[in-house]
Amino acid sequence: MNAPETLTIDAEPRRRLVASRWSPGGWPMGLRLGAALALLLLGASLLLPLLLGVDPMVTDLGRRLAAPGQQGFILGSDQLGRDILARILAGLNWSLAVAAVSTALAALIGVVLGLLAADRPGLLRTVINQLVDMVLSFPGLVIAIVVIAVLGHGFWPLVLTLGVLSWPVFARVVYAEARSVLAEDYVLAARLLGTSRLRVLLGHVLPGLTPSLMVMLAFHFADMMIAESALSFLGVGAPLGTASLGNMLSESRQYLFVAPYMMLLPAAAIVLAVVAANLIGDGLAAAGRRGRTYAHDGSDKA
Amino acid sequence: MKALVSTVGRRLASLVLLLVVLTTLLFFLLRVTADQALVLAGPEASAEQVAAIRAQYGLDRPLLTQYVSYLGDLLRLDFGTSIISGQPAIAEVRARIWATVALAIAGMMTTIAISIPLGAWLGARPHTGGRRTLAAFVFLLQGTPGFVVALLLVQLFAVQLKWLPFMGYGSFATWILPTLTLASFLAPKLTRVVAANVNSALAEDHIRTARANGAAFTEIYWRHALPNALLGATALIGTQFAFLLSGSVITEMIFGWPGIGTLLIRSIQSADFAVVQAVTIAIAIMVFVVNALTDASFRLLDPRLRRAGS
Amino acid sequence: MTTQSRQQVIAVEDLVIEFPGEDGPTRVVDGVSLTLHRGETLGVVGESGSGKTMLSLALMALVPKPGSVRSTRMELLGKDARALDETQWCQIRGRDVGMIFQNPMTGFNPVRTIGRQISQSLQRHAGMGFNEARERVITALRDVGIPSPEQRFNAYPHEMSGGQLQRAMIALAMINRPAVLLADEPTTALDATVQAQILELMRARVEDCGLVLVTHDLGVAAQICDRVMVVRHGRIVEAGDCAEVLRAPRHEYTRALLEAAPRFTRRRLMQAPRVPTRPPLLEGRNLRVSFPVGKRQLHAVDGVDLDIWPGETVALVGESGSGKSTTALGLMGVHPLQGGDLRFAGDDVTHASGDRLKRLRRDLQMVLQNPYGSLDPRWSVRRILTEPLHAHGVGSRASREARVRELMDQVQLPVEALDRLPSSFSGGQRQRISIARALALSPRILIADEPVSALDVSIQAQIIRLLLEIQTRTGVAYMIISHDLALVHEIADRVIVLYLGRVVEQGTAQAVISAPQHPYTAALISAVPVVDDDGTRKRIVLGGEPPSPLNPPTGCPFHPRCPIAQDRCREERPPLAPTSGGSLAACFYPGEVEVDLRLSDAADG
Repeated sequence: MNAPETLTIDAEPRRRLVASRWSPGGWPMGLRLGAALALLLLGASLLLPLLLGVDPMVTDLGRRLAAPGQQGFILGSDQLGRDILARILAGLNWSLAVAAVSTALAALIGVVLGLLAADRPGLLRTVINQLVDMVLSFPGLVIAIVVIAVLGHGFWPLVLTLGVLSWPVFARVVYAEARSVLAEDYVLAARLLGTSRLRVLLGHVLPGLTPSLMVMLAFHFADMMIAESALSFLGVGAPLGTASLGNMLSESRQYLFVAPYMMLLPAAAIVLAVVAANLIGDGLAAAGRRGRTYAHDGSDKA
Repeated sequence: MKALVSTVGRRLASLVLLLVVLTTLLFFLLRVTADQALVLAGPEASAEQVAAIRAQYGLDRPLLTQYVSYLGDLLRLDFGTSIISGQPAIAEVRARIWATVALAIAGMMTTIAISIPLGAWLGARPHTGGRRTLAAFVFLLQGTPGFVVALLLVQLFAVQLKWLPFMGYGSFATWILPTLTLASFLAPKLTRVVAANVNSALAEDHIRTARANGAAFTEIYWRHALPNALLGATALIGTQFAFLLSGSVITEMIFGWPGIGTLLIRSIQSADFAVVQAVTIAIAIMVFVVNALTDASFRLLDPRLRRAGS
Repeated sequence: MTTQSRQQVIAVEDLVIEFPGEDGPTRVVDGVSLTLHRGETLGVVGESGSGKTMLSLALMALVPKPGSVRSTRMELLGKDARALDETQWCQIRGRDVGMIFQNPMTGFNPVRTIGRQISQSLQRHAGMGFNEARERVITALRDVGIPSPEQRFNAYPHEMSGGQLQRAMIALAMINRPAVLLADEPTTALDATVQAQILELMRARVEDCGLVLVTHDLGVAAQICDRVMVVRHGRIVEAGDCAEVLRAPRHEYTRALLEAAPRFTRRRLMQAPRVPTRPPLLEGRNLRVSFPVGKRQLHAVDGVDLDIWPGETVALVGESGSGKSTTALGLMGVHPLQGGDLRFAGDDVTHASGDRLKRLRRDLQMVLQNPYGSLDPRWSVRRILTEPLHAHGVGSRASREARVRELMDQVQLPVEALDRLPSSFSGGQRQRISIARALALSPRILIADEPVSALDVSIQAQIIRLLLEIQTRTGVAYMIISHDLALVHEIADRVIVLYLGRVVEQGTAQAVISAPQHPYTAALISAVPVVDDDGTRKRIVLGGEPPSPLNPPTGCPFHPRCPIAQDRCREERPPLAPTSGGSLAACFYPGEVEVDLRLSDAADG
């Protein structure tokens, strides 16, 4: 009997070729940048208010519409003399929280229903897919406007509406990906061994989805940030007067001529947060593509 | 032909289903959570006046009875009467829908006119120099909410440069900023999708076959990669139309555009539920029709789908 | 064929292809020299990672981007090819050099018609108008054996079968009558019977050009090559006259390849066929599996009888689409059996489900074909091997670990590798892991679906030997699904031949392969490209491809492709009946088609 093949033969050169296309040290550039930016924003929104010690709600009509750096305001003050920096930080905090919780909610519903639809052909699959198609063809923002106008303002109405209207995004991708994982030979092998359905779903399918789920989470978070600020901007998101980025932008419209910074600064904050999330999503997708190239290298003998 | 009929039939069935679910949802959301009689009567009204209004509008009947008669009204295309203008809700929608549709078409055209050439160019070759800068800009733009773009545009062209009006509906100049704003909702995403599609189309096996038969890059690009990439982008345009209409609500509000978006916001603020319902249903139907049309054209363009049905 | 008198079309010296990598550049081709003349066929033979594909791409300047190509001499039709720029190459590609790629299914643009894609090349190089080109393309399609070429001209790739697409690909590569034709594994993605057709076609069509045939299969090279070049890790290990090299290989690696290549040897690995004494362990009668396709039923397995005795090896053979894998998955309870009767050790398990199916799976296990897909890429080997033990709640933590180590030992992998992921193993090693996993529950029957066909030839032999060793040690019975009749001849006790979901021949391996009774079996055997074929072996090349099981032909399902079909065959379906050759065959005229096995005494296994 020959010795077993060593650990280096076939497909090895090809694998090294693929690996060389990426900078050593793991993460793609964009992912690093996005993560750094995200950490920075998160840290600032949590820690800076403590250092600053300024209440974002306190009005001071004597010092209204101060330009950045003037009258003791680092980033200026608004039409009621409130500190813009403090309001941006508080607004960021609010937006990040809304986006995070509604993304988590959408992901939870989407993953559960997507997995169910993938695993159970028949009535359940048809119903779930119909539901997904239907909710996806709802004009989301319009429905959200209506629902929130009716339910009232506040954190939970906002989160519930955004989550319940956007889960199909997850469900659709999870469904498609889970079906392709379920068609993999290793799932067939698991079934042949007698592994139970639930074990297959949790042990093989769900981990197989994780890379794309991470990507989706990042992109969805960005979308939720935008949706939240848009709703607040339209006056149906954050309660009126709350320090939220959308509210600030909405209020700034009347002062475009006299105080453009009232618009530019919160706008910059939103853009930074969304870009950070998009960078992370893009980076994760790129890393995932690389991973996939690894997994599929040398899939045949030729 | 038979396949076509069954496709159309299935589509119509799902439209009906969608409308039933949507109207039911609206009905219960609006009736259960707010008392329309109070709104109609106004804040000063006495209890008797409210009760009278309740009786007049049939709001004192059981909810289910109201629901049935509401559905019956809808079947007769009776969406109710606006409590603000006293006009039928459907007339209000009809008076304003064309401003919205025209803006949506202008926005979509602009999106396509920007995204396809730009995406095609960005995806053609590896990122270097100008391509890299532009790709970064598109990325940044994708992270910028549409209403922020609108405010920036207004700030620049209306406030600083004073070139364009920042409100109004009429002359060509009033169309520019709203159209650009609306395009900014979708153009960055579409650009990136086209670029990615072109890029992956260029990596397909059949491109190698074409090269091995002497096709030069320009030929490969124009004849094989781009058409195949745009095929995929067609699907995106359809699925994103709902998103575009959401964008048009915001755009209309910012620019005071007399479309159904502003109508929706105003009706919500004044609790004019009949109009809210009519607008929502109108938007849902528009989204549905556009989805169906893009889906159909996608099927027509892609031979793999075209003949699969027959 | 004398090569000296003909024009030299390729001359390459010291070709080096490198790809940049983390730790310096990787040489995928390292100092290869070659020449090619008109009318000559050069086989470039090597396993995966040998650089043979890059070598052929370099001859067309198509090596993908980060790669760099150097040589001291590269002449194409007597001109220095190194000095050519991209524009000049565009004129040469497709006109002077044609290329046939491995996978015909993805080789054509899916949204353009075949005809347009081929005529494009004529319009480009010959300056023809579309109408003129159209005529030429239709003629070319007819020449490569595509039926009704006028209609096929307007077909899209997805409307054609793999074999037809590869024919179209050949038509495309040849359309400008190039002086050089490069073919990179042109038949690897195809069925053996279709492979035989394509090789026949290529042999006939390359009369006046030089052909470079890149292949992993010495048998294929043996059939049509004048000269061969064996490459490994980017270097030539041996080159010379094809017959010469095959007869007397000088290099050890060539010998190893040759030994592993398909051939029908007199010395079978399983010596005496074991005569069943006890009742069969698994008894299947009239098994049926069908799938709904639209409103109709596709009968993938249509009344198959099948027995497996303890300790024996049964081979299930047939083309793709013949229902081999479906039969196996039907036995395993993955595809529910719609009809028939299945017994395991006397118990009725036809419709086993839930706990009964689970219990059956302790005795009946399966190894899948593709070792790259059948192991979860995120699971460590330890977790993979304990999965069956977990699923059946076997043993304690400690005893499971002991079992896992035992299994690693059985398949000759180091226990240190238990914590590694599948991606760090080669194909052969992954298949060992797969086998170990299937053995974890000590099954009494192991079904192996093409267990070695995804592996390099030199690895195939090792895996087969491993399987036989395990059988000797544990007494497990095998049902091996394979398209490789030479392998089946070597290791199987009995053979069952399937066509369109039905058994057409069945008997001992010895009888079925040395004296096939059914013409389909004869054709399958004949389609094996054996290395002992010097081009004179008499072959039965089947016309056409398997018909769709959705509309099976009337009468004998094989009659449209059968070389000896009579009127009776078109109307009546022959039953499976005993024949004079000792096997059962479903044919009215058994034993009429003879095969040339090219039995060899060589190769001490």
